[in-house]
Amino acid sequence: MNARVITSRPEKFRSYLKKVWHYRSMAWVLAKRDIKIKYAQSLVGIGWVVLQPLVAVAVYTIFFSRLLNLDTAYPYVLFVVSGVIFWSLFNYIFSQGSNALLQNQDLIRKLYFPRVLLPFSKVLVAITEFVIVFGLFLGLLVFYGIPPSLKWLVLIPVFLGIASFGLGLALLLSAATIRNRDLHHFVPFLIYFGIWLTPVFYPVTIIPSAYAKWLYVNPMASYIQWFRWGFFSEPIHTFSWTGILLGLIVFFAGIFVFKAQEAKIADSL
Amino acid sequence: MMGNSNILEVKGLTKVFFRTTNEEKKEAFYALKDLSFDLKKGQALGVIGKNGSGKSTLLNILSNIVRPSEGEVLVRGKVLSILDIGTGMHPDLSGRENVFLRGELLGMAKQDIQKVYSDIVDFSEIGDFIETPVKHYSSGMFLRLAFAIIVHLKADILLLDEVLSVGDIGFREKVKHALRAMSSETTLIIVSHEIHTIREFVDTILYLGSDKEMGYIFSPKKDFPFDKFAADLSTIQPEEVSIYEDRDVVLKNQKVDENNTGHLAQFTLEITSGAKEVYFGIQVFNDLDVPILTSVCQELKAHKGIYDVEVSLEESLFGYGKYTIQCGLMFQENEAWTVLPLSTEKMTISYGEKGSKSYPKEVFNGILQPTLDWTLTLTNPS
Repeated sequence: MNARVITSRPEKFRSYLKKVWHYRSMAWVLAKRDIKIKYAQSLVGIGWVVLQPLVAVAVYTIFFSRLLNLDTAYPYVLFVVSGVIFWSLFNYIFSQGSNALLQNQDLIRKLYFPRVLLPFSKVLVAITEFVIVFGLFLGLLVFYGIPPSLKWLVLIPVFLGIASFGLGLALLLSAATIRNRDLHHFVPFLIYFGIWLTPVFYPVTIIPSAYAKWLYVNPMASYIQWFRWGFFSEPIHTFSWTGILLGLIVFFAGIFVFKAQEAKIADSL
Repeated sequence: MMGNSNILEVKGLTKVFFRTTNEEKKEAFYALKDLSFDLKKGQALGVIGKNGSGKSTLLNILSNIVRPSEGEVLVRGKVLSILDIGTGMHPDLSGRENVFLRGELLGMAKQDIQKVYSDIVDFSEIGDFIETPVKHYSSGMFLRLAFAIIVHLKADILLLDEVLSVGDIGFREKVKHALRAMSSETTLIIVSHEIHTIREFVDTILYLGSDKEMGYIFSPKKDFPFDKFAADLSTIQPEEVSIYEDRDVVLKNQKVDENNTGHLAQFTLEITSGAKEVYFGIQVFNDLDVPILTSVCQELKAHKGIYDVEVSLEESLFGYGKYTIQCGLMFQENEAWTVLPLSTEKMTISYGEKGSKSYPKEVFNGILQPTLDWTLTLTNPS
């Protein structure tokens, strides 16, 4: 029989990870619940997944490509779509993930499972949406006759990097919200201004070259540019490693800080 | 197993909460203090105590939801904690989807749910509605489905917090029956305000005092001084359950007055939409919250409007003591009879103090002490 001890002592990190692994199916259950609820409510649910980035792409294309005549070496639509799909991915994981605890207070008060699985389940939901949107992106590549290449494999590290950065930020913010709920208002603020610091709809080339490298401190800028390097052979700045390093630091810091706060969640909600 | 058959060991368990008072000082509040007890497999424990005595905190700690401040709990086996009937169930999903969702949230594997799925549907008496989104269910149907899931789960320790006190009476009996069947393999820990539920199910009592200096009492049921605490415990009202909203009958007013033969209970009902096969009735509970009497008025084949209902409760029916009255509706739903309370507020009456009898009724044990038709004949005068 499996014996367990419940004490006041903080849990060792290794046994915490074991527990998370033991409860891993809970993340799927929570994600499935989110997805089902979303699509049970409306038949157009799946349409929304596509419609939102589509509108963003249309707006950016009209404003920046037509009106401002921004110059990209390949079709502007491909440029902006490659930015928008990853920004949406980050947006979803960060905003939904940081809200997951507040959104599921009833579960937290009445059921036990490692709480980190709540923000994490949002990553799984994001994957399903990403797959749909990325399928459309592949369609565009075929339409514009871009030949496949081994460099496309950069998709995998870029995806993992953005997902872990978004999750890390969500965990940091969740942990902070446990202490002070007002901090939650920080999320839309960061999303709103973050996109201006990321080359989603403008190319890096419009930034004077003396300052361009500072853009790469932003992990999102680094990851998106690496993606464009893989798919459209854009030059990549070595300074982008700073952003990637920072992204990983945020991810691990998020896990550690969240774990340290986890025991207090039920007491303070 | 080293000869140790304890399934649960609680040692020196303490939980302190800190409330911030206005001067930025933190005030310590002990929800539990130095609590210790052991449970063996197959034992059934009832946790009782006033509101705020730490009952829910104890269950939260055993469920791993809240960490203790001091002390430890050793658990041998799988714990299933039902702190709320339907946590995680979602109105937009169908009954079927909710069965799987709820089961999985409670830690069951999908294949195991599949095995008991048809039993759950049968037990819930929901029939074809199982494919309908739960938001279209009546509250009674929702509760039946939620309970059906709970009684089909397997665990070594089952924690139940107040969940037996909701739902209609007929179905409640069915749930209790199922729980009794489970209790041979499962160690039950029940928190309830209803002392009669506790007495019915458990063999061991844990009484938590609200004054932490007074501590707690852990004793076999047969040794527990229920009478001493009855007054304490029966005054507590269960949490408000508004499961009468979707009926077309609204209770506008209720009162009870003394008259010369006992009491007269008066109710004002408003029927807000057309006729339905509905009966109005009352239940009378004794001071341990055991329902001892039910009486039903004639069918409400009603037109819309406001109705006055009166019922006389003669003192000759009752024993000495305090009783509470609750009114409700009876009706058929999917061919099963359902009873819904119309109000969570019970009215209190007491008998025997005026003392028309020359002996004190309180010394006798009968729940009912009616004045029956006795004959006393002297056959052999000396």
